[in-house]
Amino acid sequence: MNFTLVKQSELSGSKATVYTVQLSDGIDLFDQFLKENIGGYHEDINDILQRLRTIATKTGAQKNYFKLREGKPGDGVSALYDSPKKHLRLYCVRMGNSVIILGGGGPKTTRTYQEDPKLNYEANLIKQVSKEITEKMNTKYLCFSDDELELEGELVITP
Amino acid sequence: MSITTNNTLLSELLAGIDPQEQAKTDKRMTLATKIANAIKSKGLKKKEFAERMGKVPSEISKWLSGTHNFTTDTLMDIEAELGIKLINLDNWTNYEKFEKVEVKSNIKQAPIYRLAG
Repeated sequence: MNFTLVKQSELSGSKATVYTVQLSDGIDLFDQFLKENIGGYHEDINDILQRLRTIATKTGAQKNYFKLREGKPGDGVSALYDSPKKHLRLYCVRMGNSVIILGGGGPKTTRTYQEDPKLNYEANLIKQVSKEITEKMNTKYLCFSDDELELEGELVITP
Repeated sequence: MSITTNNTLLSELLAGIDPQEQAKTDKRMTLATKIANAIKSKGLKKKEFAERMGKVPSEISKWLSGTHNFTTDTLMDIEAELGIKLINLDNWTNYEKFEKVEVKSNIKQAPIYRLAG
């Protein structure tokens, strides 16, 4: 799967940098998530954006803000912790406290994501993203910046 | 070199966030991390802390997620268990003083007080 990691300056700050995933057809997974859900879940979107802002500017991407084992152990798939009384799930890859890569997501309609075709699709996409990034990090095509706040190297990921 | 992009929808949504709501979110998440760090400092695993608090581990995960709205009772219980301060009541003695108002009237009435200063 080919994709580009795009830094979202408006969502990034002194504590963490936020990237989104732009597929080879130009679709950005997080942008798509916003467009698909802003109509029916405006409050949920607001809540997510506020939490991302706090992460980027105040606290960093602390482990406790995420559900770290959304996929199988070790596949790097996380989700931003589901807010109580909120309905949206957002998948991401957490790389330490200072880098998050946002994927897509959607409304939670089932107990597990595997039972929901949309969430299953988004989870599998981010799983693939995580796998490719791990491979690039291992082969040094991608690395953290000196201040460990950003990613450097080949942000256009081709397997 | 980073690849960045301008996202109009994202910009609009971020501009529309109420600063007071953002401040609440900041505090909620910072509070959660203060608790998480205190648990770690005590050398406790989540399961152990849960047992001490009489909760299940998933409840503790909720507490630490930054999304939970704590009651003051729960915060006080956590303070006691972890030996940390979460609720600051240091200046509680700063209260406003009242002074008696002299009112000239032929009608007998109860004393009137007003805020001093």
